[in-house]
Amino acid sequence: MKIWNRIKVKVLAFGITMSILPLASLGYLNVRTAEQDLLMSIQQRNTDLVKGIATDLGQLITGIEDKISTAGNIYGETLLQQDRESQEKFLYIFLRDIPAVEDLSLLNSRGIEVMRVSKREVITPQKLSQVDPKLLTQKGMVKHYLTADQRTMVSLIIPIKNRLTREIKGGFYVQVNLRSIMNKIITRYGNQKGAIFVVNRDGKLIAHEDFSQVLRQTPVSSSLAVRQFMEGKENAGRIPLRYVSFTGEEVLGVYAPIKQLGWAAVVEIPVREA
Amino acid sequence: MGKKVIYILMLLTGIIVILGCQIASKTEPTKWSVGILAASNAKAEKIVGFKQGLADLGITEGKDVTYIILNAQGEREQLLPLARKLVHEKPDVLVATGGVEADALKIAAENQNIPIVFIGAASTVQRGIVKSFIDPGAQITGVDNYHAELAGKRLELLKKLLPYVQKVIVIYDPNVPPGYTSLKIVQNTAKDLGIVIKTIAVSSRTDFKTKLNRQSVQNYDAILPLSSFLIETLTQDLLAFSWQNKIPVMGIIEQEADRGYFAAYGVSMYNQGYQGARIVAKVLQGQQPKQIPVETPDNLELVVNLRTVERLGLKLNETGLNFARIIIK
Repeated sequence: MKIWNRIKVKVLAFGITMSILPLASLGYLNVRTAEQDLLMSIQQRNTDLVKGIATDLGQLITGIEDKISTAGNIYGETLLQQDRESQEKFLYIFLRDIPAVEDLSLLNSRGIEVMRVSKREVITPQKLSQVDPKLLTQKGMVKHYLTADQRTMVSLIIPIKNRLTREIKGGFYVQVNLRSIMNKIITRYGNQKGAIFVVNRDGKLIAHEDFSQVLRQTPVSSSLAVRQFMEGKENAGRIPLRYVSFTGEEVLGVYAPIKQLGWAAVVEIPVREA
Repeated sequence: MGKKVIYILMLLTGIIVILGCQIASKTEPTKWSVGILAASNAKAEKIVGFKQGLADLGITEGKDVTYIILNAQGEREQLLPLARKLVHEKPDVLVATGGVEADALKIAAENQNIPIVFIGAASTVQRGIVKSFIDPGAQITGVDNYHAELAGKRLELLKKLLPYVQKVIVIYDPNVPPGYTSLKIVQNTAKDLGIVIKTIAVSSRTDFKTKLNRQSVQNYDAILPLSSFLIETLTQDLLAFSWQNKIPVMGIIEQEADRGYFAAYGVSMYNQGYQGARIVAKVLQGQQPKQIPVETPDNLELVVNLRTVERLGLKLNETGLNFARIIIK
């Protein structure tokens, strides 16, 4: 009898173990797979988000360039020969119609400002200056900088060329308020969790939805997504790029290049929030 | 025995369900409350912009946030008592719709650890609201509307719109930082532009009525009021004076041009509120105000009121008009 009882107990114990153990193992595997799938889907969403941001930012800046460039191609050479008042009238139209443009100069072929208009500064003939004439051989963004009142600005050069000979006759020197552009983009995309920021090719922070990070020049190159951009590696987004961010937090990060500017937009979402 | 077991199981199930519901209800998003202090109805448009700004960031009234709005109805002495009342409500963040409101809230909220955000205040460093733009210093930050710093630009644009202007009356309140800060800037700009200015210091409405009269503005071409709470409350008086004496006034915000000044240059009330909303959203989401730099306005607009131009018989120059974003007809 005792033997039977012992056998019964052992069979019961074996039965319970063999039903719980596989279930528990399967359950654990399912949870792990689901977690991976969730991370992949979050990362895919991040990838789409960061591509959208990069595209928007690039297009907004090139949109400004194109607008002024088109006018420059048609009227630029004539404008350089007109009187100061006509030049001023022309520049004021752009200042009015392009909200992100803060300051706009008309340059002659030697890089000397012949006219300038500004939304904040009072401009008198004595305040006109000169830029390096070599800049006129470029087109597009030439520098970014911080103003005294903490606005991140981008300088664009748009050369004016003779329509036939393509000789450089002068140019437009445009100061664009990057912070106002970023604010618009962040309002569009910023209901997402995590952080959105922009870096240049050297891994330096250019813009961040927490603007104080830009002012403090927080070093961000320890983030893997930033390093991947700096090294020119493609971020496939297929495998979750999970790493410890410059903030010290474990994140899912992804970047997308902003080709027009040579920068990258980066999105990092803390794993605990994902 | 069997029935007892069933009853016990039913009781256990019921307890689990009730506990589960309570846990579920506890995990609903927390509602925030935002206390807003306004000195007068003139700030209404800022509040509209502010609410819209938060809504665009996904923080909607009723669902995510409740607003407690107290308005001093133009009575400055009511600001501090109202500020204390707001602080007593213990909101998640206090919002000041201007500089005088920020001053009152800063006093009322001392040692309360409630963050304060100003949605458009002038000369915030000079008046001691913040330490600096980059490092506000305390539990307060926001949008500086740059009214003082743009005073010179307003004088320049006045000249662009009306090139014949050679002599300008400058009205200012000498008792407040935006007043004397703007005055210095205007004096320097006037020198650069070759404009003669005559300053009239105004400390009260009586002062204004006494000092501003037909004789005092004789041979002057325009009036440039400088930013201050007092001057803001005198808008209607200045407008009546402008129309009576056919002398144009260059205002600071769109609403002033809308009310009848011939033009205005600066950031609109709506945009001050809208821009400030972004900072409030950061605070609501856990950032400390001292970590958030003060912002200057992103959207500056020149507004011209063509009705007033016609009424005053003014002839506007096209150069200045080309820069005007909104033209009230």
